[in-house]
Amino acid sequence: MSVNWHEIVLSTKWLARLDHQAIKRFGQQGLAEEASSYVLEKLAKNNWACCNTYIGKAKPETFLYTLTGNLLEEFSRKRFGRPRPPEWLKREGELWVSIWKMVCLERQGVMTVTDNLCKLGNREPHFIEGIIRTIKARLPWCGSSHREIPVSAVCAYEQKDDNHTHEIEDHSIAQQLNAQQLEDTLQLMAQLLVFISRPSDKVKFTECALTMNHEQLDNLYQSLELSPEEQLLLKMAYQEGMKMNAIAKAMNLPPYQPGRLLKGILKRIEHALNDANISTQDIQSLLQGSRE
Amino acid sequence: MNKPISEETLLGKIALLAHKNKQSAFGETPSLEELAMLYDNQLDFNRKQEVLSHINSDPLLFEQFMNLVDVMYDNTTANQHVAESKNSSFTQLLSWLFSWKGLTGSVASASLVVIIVLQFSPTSPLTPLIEQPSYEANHEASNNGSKNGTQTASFISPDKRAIAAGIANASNDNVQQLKQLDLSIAINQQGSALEANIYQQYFQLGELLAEWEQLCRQDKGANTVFIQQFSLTINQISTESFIPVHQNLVKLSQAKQPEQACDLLQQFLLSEF
Repeated sequence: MSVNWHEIVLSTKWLARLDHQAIKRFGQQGLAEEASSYVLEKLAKNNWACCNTYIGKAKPETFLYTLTGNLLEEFSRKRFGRPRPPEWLKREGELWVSIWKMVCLERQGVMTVTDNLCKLGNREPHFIEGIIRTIKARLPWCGSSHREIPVSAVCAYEQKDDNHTHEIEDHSIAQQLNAQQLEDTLQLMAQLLVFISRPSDKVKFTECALTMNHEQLDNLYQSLELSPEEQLLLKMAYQEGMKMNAIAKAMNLPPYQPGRLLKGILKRIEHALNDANISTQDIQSLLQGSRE
Repeated sequence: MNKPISEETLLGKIALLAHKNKQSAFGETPSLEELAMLYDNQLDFNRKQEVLSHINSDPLLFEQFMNLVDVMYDNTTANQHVAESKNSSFTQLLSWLFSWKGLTGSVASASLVVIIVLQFSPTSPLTPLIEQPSYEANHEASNNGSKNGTQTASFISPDKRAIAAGIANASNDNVQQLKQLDLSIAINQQGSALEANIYQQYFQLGELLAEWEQLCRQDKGANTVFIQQFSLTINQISTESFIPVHQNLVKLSQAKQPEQACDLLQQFLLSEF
């Protein structure tokens, strides 16, 4: 399908949006301008060759924004390298990795990152601040110098990244669920999770010292089943910290719907855990105990 | 010391942990254009499930989709802010007209008509659908006319009809208070003079009002998320609809105390229905 990309991309409106997107991504004006130029150059290269994958099904503007987002990330990789984030951080979800990139590698200011990620109210600032605090507590080198970090240094720091102090408020679920004190008591939960991820282990699981019968296990298994939409909803709410209205927009739902859907999913999970004699209060007090 | 994580967050994270590696992605890997189509809601149901399964299992795709979501949210919200500021100057003008002591009601009404005509010129995307009155609306008007002899049907604004439909839809049979309201004015989307998306917003507002009423009955205040949803709906209506939002609804969205909110809600329901 033939689209006049030249006309769309070089329009004042689209250029202003590109600048806005770059500023939001990199925080600093100079770097953002450099990134915008990189994107424009890449888009226009070989007579808009990278737009050739467009087959005319999506809106051209939405397609362009997807392309632009990828090119901005490509720019960041070229400029700052491709260091691997620590494993514990990856477990927390993609938002943590993005913030780690912004704060530790690109050395954007905490305020800038918080403002950019919460601009127009799609997230609560304290959610982002909590993540930054945890990352900085566990990775003391993060954002401390203005020179670029060699990849080897990042890998070396990865080895030491668990030497953090417990006095600093730690929002990572890994810290909360992997603490030494919890290992024995959460074995039940771990077995449960293993069982859920590998239903073929059901017989093995039922042989362990649990007071659950087949019916309870079946119910638990079914109740924790999530559709792709439900899984994305949970990720947006609990990993990305997005507000309900932002989730509704992202998933093409009426504004009241995500809240109701989440309520339903959580109720289902809570009932399933209760039926299997696991209460959230018990888990909560175990988590509390591990941190004291 | 760490703050305890909320029960909701705990359950949500347990569900995500439990689900990790449980299901692998199915179907072909989505292209960039398909990500854009997902955002624009242009994929058919089956393909949508496949694309979502890939997004859930591939961190890179998830990041790409979240980048798109962020940018598009910025764009729509920025547009909304422009519209809100335009709208607020319009509402400021209206409030000035109505608060001017010397102005009579008839002059105010005439001014309102002139402003509406100027504000919503034929090129405006917010122009109400008035050229093709629906079959249902005509039918209802003629029925009312025959009941009342030569009288024509009294005019009930379309926003009130759509809100009534939302309330009727969400009302629980056990709630006496809502049953006492005259919801016979409710009209469905096909019968409404409003554009479909605006009708939906009023309908949702009606549902939220019914839910809030039930919370008040149970002496429970609405939580922050609920109030945010309500305010968002009010804001969207203020921006997109040509009918000014009822003042009590605006006050309701800004009420600080649960008791005050319940009183305002009661006043609105009793005076309007």
